[in-house]
Amino acid sequence: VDKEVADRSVLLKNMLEDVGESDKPIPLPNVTGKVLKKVITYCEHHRNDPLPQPDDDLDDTKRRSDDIDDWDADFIKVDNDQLFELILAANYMDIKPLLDLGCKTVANMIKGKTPEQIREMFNIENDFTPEEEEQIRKENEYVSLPLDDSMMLGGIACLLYYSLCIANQSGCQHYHRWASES
Amino acid sequence: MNGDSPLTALPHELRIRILTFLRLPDLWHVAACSRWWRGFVPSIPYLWVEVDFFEAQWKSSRLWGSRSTDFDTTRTISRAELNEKRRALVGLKMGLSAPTSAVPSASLRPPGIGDAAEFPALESAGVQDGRVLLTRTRVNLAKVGDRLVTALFSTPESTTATNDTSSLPPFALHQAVLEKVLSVGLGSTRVSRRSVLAVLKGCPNLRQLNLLGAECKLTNEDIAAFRGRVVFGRDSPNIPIPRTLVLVGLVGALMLDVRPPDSLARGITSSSDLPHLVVGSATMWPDPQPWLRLQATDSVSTTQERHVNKDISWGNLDVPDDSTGFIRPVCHTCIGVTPRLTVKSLTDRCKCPICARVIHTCFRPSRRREEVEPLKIPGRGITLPRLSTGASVPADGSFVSECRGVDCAGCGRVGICAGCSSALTHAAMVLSNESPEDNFESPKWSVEYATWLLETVEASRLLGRFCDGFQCGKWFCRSCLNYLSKFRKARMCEQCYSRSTPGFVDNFADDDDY
Repeated sequence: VDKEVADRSVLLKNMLEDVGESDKPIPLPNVTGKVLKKVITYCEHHRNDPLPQPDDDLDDTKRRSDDIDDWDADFIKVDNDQLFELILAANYMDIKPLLDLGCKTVANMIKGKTPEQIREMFNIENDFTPEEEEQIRKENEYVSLPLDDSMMLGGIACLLYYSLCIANQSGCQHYHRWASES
Repeated sequence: MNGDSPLTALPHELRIRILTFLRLPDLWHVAACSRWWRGFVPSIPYLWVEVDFFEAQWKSSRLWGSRSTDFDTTRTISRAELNEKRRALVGLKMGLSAPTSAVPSASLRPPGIGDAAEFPALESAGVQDGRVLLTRTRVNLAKVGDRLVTALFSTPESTTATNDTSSLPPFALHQAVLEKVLSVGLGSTRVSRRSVLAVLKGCPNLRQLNLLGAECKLTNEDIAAFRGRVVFGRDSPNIPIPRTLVLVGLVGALMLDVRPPDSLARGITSSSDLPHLVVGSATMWPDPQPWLRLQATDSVSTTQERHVNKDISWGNLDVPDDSTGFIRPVCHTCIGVTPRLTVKSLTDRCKCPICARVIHTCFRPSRRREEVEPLKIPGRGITLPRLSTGASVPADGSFVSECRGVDCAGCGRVGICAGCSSALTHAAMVLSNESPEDNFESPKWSVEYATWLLETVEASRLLGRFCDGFQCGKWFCRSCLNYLSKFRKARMCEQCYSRSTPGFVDNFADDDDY
């Protein structure tokens, strides 16, 4: 690969600087060939991008996970195993944009999912007992909505109506007196 | 730990890196996956430096199940529109070279931006002809805020006391994490006083507890004690400006035919003596008794003195001077037939005492834009409100991050706080080589600082909330959005709402005030 493509990886860049001009192969023991191909594809596409600054991690905007451009979104459409291998490779080779892309993709997969869906997606074993699950469910239990005014007024009206009906049927003296007066 | 899971098999720093992209409801879900995650998530300080419950209510769609749905909005939006919104958000569209600190942080983003990526399942289900069909279900976290706050910020002692019999580790922030919490936003949540106290007690290094928009009952003593650490909003039950309390109290007292004991000493005998009164956007009326007990020694803030017109604005319901005895916070329909009211009828909620509807008129601010003399910055294409108030302006611009002001599409009002307005005016004068006004007590500013401030505030103006219809790009201030949501049950402009609601007849079209 071109040097400027290899320079996207801080690890390779440092190694190339240390080795100098040489035809010796650089070993990457933690990266499989298939993943390395994907990494090279990514680096070639982003060869002209500005290199990330060391203090980029401090930038709050980097915490957004919805700023993935279309090419990157297509690039990262891989199965879970390959996605995590890419993340590990990016971490090992110190390619921050690719690492962020992978992490954002995983985050996007988590967002909006229920715990059950997350467990299923990432093969997380549910080791809660049924009682503990019930406790968690209670923690997340939706607090009952306050009654709407109209509902409340309607309810009161219904109660009043039925109590009057019952009073009428049971021959309540107070009711009959009130009814005759009114 | 679940060894088979690729997520848990990641190195520690990578797991944290992934979690930093998640918001509160998603973190809550991850923690509910397994026992190990339940202990892991609340133990990472980096995740909890800023906790924003207000932001959380817009993010996760399935946190509380289907019963939590407030409303469903179906709309279409192309990816190009979405990207344009994003660019506009960070100031690219305006050509602003906003400094790094001014770029809106993820926690301050307005809802609606980036939803396509945040609802991948819905997105993938609804792609039609290159357009994305988004169905968003808003989580009404306002109803559960108290429970969340109590769970997260409960101190270890209280946690162990309540969960002695359970082997399940509590989902509460660890003590070391609590010490790292710097900012908590409880906006738009309904929290109890106990929760607020728990946050303040649990987080010793908390710099700011934001109660803007939160509904909670705090005593005046609390407000006095929390001042400096807690940011109160207009929706907060008590407004921590003594003068405002005096004025509001006076109005309340007028209804009861009772006057504050010091009103005569202050020279306030009728509403015509009031400089200006704005009670807009108040969703809960405070107990009138503390107002009536106000002492003459209470300090008087000068922030209200910029309003030169001697009228009273009760929400958006402008009441002229000559109707002092008939000030009634009722809806437009009922105002003509309202008998004399008592303050008690206002203490529960802001509802019309006649028809029991929520008084939507209370959620709309009065128009003040006409009174503002704009100040144009030559060569920059920026028009600024000229609201010199004489308020002291922090030299470090620390207030700027809190101000989310922007011109509202509904009322046209500039939603900038007094401090930022002063700062903007001052910065504008520095840049245009005008001599600062006499009542400005700010230090000498450099051109660089003034430029930075202008750009920061201009960028922060983008932090407002856009129309939920997502088709018009209109920005609405908080008051107008409350107004819209109360009436339409959707935070959309009338055009978007008409489009999304077949057969909708906009009653507001006849409303001249709007």
